[in-house]
Amino acid sequence: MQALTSYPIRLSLGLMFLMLGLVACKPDNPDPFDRESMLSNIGNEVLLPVHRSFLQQSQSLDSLTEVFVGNPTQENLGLLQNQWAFTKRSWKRVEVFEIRQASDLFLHNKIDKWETKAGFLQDNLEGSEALTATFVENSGSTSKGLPALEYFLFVEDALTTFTTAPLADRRLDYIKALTENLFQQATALLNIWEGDVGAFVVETENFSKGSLNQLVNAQVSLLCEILFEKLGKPMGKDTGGTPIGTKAEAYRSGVSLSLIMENLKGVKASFLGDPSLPGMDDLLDHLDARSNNQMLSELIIQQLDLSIQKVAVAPGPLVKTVETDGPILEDLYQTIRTCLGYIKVDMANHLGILITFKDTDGD
Amino acid sequence: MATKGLAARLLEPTEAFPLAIFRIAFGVLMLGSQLRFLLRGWVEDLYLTPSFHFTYDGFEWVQVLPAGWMYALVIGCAVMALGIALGWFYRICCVGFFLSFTYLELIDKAWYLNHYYFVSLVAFLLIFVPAHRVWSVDAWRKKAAASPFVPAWSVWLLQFQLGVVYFFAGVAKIKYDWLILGEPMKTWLSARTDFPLIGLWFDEPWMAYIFSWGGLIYDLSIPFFLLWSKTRPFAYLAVVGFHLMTWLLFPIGMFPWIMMASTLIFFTADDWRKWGKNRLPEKPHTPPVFQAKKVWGLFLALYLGIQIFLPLRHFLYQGSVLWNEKGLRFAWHVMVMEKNGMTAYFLSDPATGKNWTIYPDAYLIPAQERQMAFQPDMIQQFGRFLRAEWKKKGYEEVRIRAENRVCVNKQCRDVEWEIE
Repeated sequence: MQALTSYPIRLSLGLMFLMLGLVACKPDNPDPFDRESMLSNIGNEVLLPVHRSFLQQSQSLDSLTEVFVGNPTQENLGLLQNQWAFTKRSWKRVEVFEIRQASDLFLHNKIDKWETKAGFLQDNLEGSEALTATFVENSGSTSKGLPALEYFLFVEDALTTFTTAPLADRRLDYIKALTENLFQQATALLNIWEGDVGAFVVETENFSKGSLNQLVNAQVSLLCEILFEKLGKPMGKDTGGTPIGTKAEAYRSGVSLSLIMENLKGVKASFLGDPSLPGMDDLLDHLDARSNNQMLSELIIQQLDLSIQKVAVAPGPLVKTVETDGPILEDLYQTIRTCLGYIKVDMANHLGILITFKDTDGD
Repeated sequence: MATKGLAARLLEPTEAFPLAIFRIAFGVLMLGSQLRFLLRGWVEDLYLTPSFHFTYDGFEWVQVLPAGWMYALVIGCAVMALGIALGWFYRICCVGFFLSFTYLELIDKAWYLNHYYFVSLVAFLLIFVPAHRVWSVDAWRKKAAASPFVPAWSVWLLQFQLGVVYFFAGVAKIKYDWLILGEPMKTWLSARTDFPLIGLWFDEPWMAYIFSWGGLIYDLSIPFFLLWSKTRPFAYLAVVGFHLMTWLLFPIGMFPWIMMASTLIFFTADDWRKWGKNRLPEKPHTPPVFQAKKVWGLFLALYLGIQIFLPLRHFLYQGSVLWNEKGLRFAWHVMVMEKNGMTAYFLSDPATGKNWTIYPDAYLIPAQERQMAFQPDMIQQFGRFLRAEWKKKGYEEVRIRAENRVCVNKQCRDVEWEIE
């Protein structure tokens, strides 16, 4: 009894009752923002569908490659080239989701690591090893996936290289092996996400492994890549202003700008989810996040839309227009830079998100 | 007379074992901290990988050593921490730990943390504090080093250091953002609604105010409650509760553990004896008479003066310390803001008409980029680095401007910098 009446014990009991009282009370706002619903929306309504769509496109690409290999005509080549562009665009919607296991296993690199190493591809072509999907699987990331296919499909006088030019048969074998491997990677990626989306949805905490934290970092990372690599480098931002068109992604096929557009649409979709369900915009609104006297969610959506509009009307192909249409591209560049600022700085500040996956020891 | 009285009180003998408890706790935690640093691969990630480091003014000579030496430095630091815990070659280990730990911290501003600074200060003080008089290998080996008493100043000095951390961390919170806007607590708590039991209310503004005001009152008052014997046990319970809460809520690494261990220095021998019963040594008799030279008093006064001046020096500068960060480091501005930034550099060479847009990401690791993107002195420093780089490329007179978007506690601005 003596122990029970001592002051520390009484204080501890008092605190415990206070805590129980708090738990028993209902908060003023009984409906705090449900982050799990938001992640479920993004995961189930955007993430999985874009991966499924990419798998379908990869399958079509593999089938059309088989048709072309069996009957290498100009018409079949045209169909195959178109399908490659569809597949590549479809991939650009997936790219923003390079997080969790998909990132840990470097699957994105196996599908679309640019720029491809032309020298490696040429060496393999001229070598004696059988060019199979297994051979491609064992190759490095810079000699497989969509960029490697582009190298073969969009070369000048492409049909000749597959029909009458030296090594034409091996070239056909190689593209078949590449598309087969691509389809395998797309299948593996979707399988991983189908098993992992549940964990993605429930990991709502705000530390570095939290899903929202990872997704915002991935959005920032992709917008940085667009700005620094996909636009900045061809525009000559790091070479004193001398444009280098061949620094553009997919310059051989001339679809660089449309890929940027799909990337931006992918970022927007990952931000909104299905607009009728809770997305990151709703989370920001719930927090009453404002910037420049405007709702931050609106600012981000407006800036993403503006970027998409400007890239849609920018003259292409980028490999050439960096030389001739600098001011238009500069305007696009600045629009995307502003958009990056809103997401990387304003949104991260309002959400208390750590920009970088690096674990910290900070206070 | 007052000075004489104070000197006498500083030299009054007090029992040594509470100081030994502090020494052991500090040494063990620092050993753990350095091992954690090694095991997480941070030697590689934070020191060896980056090609550029943000050195401190006046300490530009503190550079990353070759990989083998860097590992040796961290391992050496861990061994010294073990030496401190064991009280084995205590003074040498204190000097070694202070030098190695501080060297590691001075390599890069991007890795500045208040609690690393605190560790350096405590290590520095331990060089002079005789915390090895009991419960140490030194006392066991050399009877001459053993004594059940130490002068009172050696305990007070560490208590003062702890008090400075808390009190000025409280002073740093007396800001409009913290008190009136409830920031950054609103931001941080609303991101943790998954927290067990009370997380349900973390979206509520009143909860942010409870944390903000509670934290402020805690910081300002806890040293005094720890000093007063009647409130000390409850104050320590509050210390444990407060730091456990921060550990659960925020990714702040070792800080809570360091503070929970360090505040043990406020417990007297009698306090420990009350709980330790027969397991602790009996109260010794015949205390020695301690003496000290005047210069030691001057040194003490100088140290105390510096410790009080540094946290207040930001008042000498115009503008908000949260934005300009002048006087922010070494001043216990602990967890006072959520700050993010993004910086781009625009270089132009009048001689050739060439223009470049450079993002620090190309040169820095992400964790460095995150820090420099909102810290004005680091923005300038990186700009000067770019100037030097371009000079090496043959562009002698390149002009550099930085555009910086920065948000502090939900207030965002675009700032332009001319690189000096």
